[in-house]
Amino acid sequence: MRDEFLSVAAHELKTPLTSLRGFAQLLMRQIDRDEAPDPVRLRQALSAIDQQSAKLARLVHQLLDVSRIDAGKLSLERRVSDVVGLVEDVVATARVNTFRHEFAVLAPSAALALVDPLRLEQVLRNLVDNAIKYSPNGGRIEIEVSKSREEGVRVAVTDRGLGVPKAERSHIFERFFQAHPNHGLGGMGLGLYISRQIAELHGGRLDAEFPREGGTRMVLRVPVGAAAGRA
Amino acid sequence: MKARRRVLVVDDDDTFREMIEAALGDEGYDVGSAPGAEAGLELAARFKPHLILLDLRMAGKDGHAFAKAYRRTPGRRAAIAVVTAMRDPQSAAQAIGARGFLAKPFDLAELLNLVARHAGG
Repeated sequence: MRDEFLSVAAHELKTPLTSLRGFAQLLMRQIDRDEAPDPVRLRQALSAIDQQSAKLARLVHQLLDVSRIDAGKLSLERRVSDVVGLVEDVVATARVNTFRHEFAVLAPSAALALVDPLRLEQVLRNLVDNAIKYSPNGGRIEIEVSKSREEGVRVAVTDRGLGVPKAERSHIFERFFQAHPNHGLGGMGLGLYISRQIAELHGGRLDAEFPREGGTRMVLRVPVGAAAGRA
Repeated sequence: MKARRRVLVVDDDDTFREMIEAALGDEGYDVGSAPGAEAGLELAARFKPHLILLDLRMAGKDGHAFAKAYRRTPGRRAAIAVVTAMRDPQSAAQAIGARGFLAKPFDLAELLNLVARHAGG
């Protein structure tokens, strides 16, 4: 496991680092030659630098989270939080980043629960990002929030994208698993692994369902917690 | 006028390929770009590169499979240089009979030296 971890991490970190440095050095060469920077090239290079450094930051966060999980040191700072508000924040960000997807949020006005809002937001962002990533042709993404005595707070994120082949469905929460490695969708295959751990630390769960009409539905359930029970 | 030297980059990372295209394009090379082994083999047959920059760890058919299949193609074949994040790039390059290697992350100058050395011209 450790070797695999290092080999995947090395590849995933070094490639964006190479692109980042390459584009930065290309711009420096232009300046050193006293050439007026070509605006198209400048835009391309800065955009690559911006995206690749964001990607690296994301990967580093994921690696740190996995180390914390392994060491049993991923801890929660719970406070009464509105899960609907968290969902709306995540969807608002997602809307800015994609114009090919349509988001539908079906939720009560609020759903309070005793959770770590930053960690729960991380899970919700992962689920929504996956829904976008695995429906590359766009389409509708539904996020339903409900609250009940039996299930606590339930958030279901449904896309109509590529889904996951039957034979691979039991692996999607494993580390380094990527459902569609040939689609060039990238990532280290750590997102769902980390998300499930966070759900379980809350005393909740994260499950995948595969609707007959295609796509994927990820269902997060977290207990309401004593202090948030009434809202 | 001397014909431009052709370099093919086979790597499944879009931004990495864009960077190589920009860097080598600025230096006057014709650059072909393929996101995987299958596309790379297909493009190599038409583009007839002088040098192939090959990533080894790719989703689906990897760089080893590319090198093996490419060597079976008829006609003049390009030199291959391995571009990899693997721990021991030199052994990896030797294992597929590559002429050279670059360990990610590398400097632009290293890339240009390697290409100048192996793309001929």
